[in-house]
Amino acid sequence: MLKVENLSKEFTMHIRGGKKIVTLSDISFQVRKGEFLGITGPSGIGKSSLLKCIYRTYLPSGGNIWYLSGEGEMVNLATVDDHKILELRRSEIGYVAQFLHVIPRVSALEVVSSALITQGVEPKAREERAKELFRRLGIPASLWEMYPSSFSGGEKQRLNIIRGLISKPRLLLLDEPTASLDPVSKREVISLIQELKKEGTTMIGVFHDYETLMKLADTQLDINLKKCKEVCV
Amino acid sequence: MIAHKREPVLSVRGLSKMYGKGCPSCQTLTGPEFNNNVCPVCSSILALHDISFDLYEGEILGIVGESGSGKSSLVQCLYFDQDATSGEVYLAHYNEGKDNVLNIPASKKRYLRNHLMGMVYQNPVLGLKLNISSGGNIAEKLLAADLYIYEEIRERGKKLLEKTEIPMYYMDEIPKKLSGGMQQRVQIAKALANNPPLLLLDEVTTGLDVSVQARVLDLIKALQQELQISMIVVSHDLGVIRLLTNRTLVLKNGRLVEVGLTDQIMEDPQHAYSQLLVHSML
Ligand SMILES: Nc1ncnc2c1ncn2[C@@H]1O[C@H](COP(=O)(O)OP(=O)(O)OP(=O)(O)O)[C@@H](O)[C@H]1O
Ligand SMILES: Nc1ncnc2c1ncn2[C@@H]1O[C@H](COP(=O)(O)OP(=O)(O)OP(=O)(O)O)[C@@H](O)[C@H]1O
Ligand SMILES: [Mg+2]
Ligand SMILES: [Mg+2]
Ligand SMILES: [Zn+2]
Repeated sequence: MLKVENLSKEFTMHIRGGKKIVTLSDISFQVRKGEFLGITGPSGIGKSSLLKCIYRTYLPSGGNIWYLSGEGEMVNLATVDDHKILELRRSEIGYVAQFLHVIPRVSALEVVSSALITQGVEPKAREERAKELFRRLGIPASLWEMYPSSFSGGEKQRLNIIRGLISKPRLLLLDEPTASLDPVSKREVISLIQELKKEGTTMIGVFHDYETLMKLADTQLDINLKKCKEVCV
Repeated sequence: MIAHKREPVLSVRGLSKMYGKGCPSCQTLTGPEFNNNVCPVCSSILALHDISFDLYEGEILGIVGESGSGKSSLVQCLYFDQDATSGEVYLAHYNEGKDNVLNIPASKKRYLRNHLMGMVYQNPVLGLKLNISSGGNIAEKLLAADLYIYEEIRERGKKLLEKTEIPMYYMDEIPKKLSGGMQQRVQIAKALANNPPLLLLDEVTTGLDVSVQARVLDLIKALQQELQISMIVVSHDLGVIRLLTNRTLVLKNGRLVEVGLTDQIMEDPQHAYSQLLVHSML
């Protein structure tokens, strides 16, 4: 469903005399439908950058990212126009960032339930679904109407995960979704991810923690020394 | 699932706006490389040069850039407050997007303004008659959009005030007596009066208290989610842009230096000027 060919990403820092930072070079791999690909590698090697290139928060410098959409269309996420990317983000590609980008002045309930608006879900049903997930991940009802900017790191992360999962995307990108969670929420997040996987969602996840990786991933991509190799778990 | 059509609601091609007579050197001696939009030969101001972009249904496009980069000129050309010097603009809702609306007769332009667009100005003085009641201001827009029945106007006015969270007793109050935040709300209510498919917002929150800003932003966000209107949001505040928009244009000295997904512009700006702009805000 996703085929990455010779992907590279470098940043040109114009404000620092045109200095170039090479972050990814010549990365190739593929993910089949319904599969979970785990990505590992040392800090700073480019794991988050890889997910951001697929989501197009970063503009790839070279290579192709072939994605077979739900409508059966082959789209190169590296080069397709912004409008198409927005359409895919609305309907089938989800992303849980390593750090929650808190939207100021929007309540937790809204942050989460608004992810369902573009799928045409009724307001009542949106709220119900959000509350159900809040309960599962132990976000107390007293926080539902609050602004997430005041949440703790772990609460923010759970919120972030709920936001990414609620719309049940076809392809889900997960950047260290369990990094700052206590063992109980972590177990709950893992089981949520497993349920989603059973329903057919294809996933690419970055993990520091080997144990979690082993629980979730079908295949593993280890990015190391700017080279990558694919290993089967 | 809401169908987002793959045709633009608005297409802008090669739009230029010159203040002054212009000369052959205007184009070649202004722009980001010269850090200037004033022609050194004839002193004309090239406020916009060769701007092209598309806006899709339900999309919110941000416009950023330093003071004088041409942001207001751009939305004012689209709203026909200013006459563009050259270029093409197509609106899907007007004759199926076949006509360059910059060239249609003035009466048709008035029709477009009244039926297909709403505008909120940075300065409420430009958008409101401050000595006519808030209800009257809204009624004016409804009359322009061919709604003539008094009860209906009054009823629609009430609904709009409700939607924009303006207390009903302000309906008969003149905007002059209202706070800045309330004036902006009345402007938004007025801009929405004709149910426009395209809303233009020029620095709606500039000059307001932070808490008032927050409420105005919430309102815009809620309206967008509810009504799925396409919007152009001009702001020098990247926080506002990040909060509200899907895509962003970066202007510098009247030129379009970069366009991209808003998160990409914020996290991976390509052009030297966009990088400077984003980093200076962090
Ligand atoms: N927007 C950016 N601009 C400039 N350099 C960047 C940017 N994003 C990432 N980099 C650089 O690219 C490299 C890879 O960063 P990335 O965040 O992808 O690493 P990572 O493997 O996810 O690390 P970690 O495990 O610590 O999260 C780093 O050297 C980082 O400084
Ligand atoms: N009516 C006018 N007559 C002459 N010059 C004008 C006129 N309106 C704008 N300009 C000039 O055109 C250029 C662009 O102005 P514009 O108002 O579009 O900038 P802006 O990006 O909106 O700036 P700001 O952030 O300060 O609102 C400026 O150099 C300005 O001085
Ligand atoms: Mg990372
Ligand atoms: Mg302006
Ligand atoms: Zn000149």
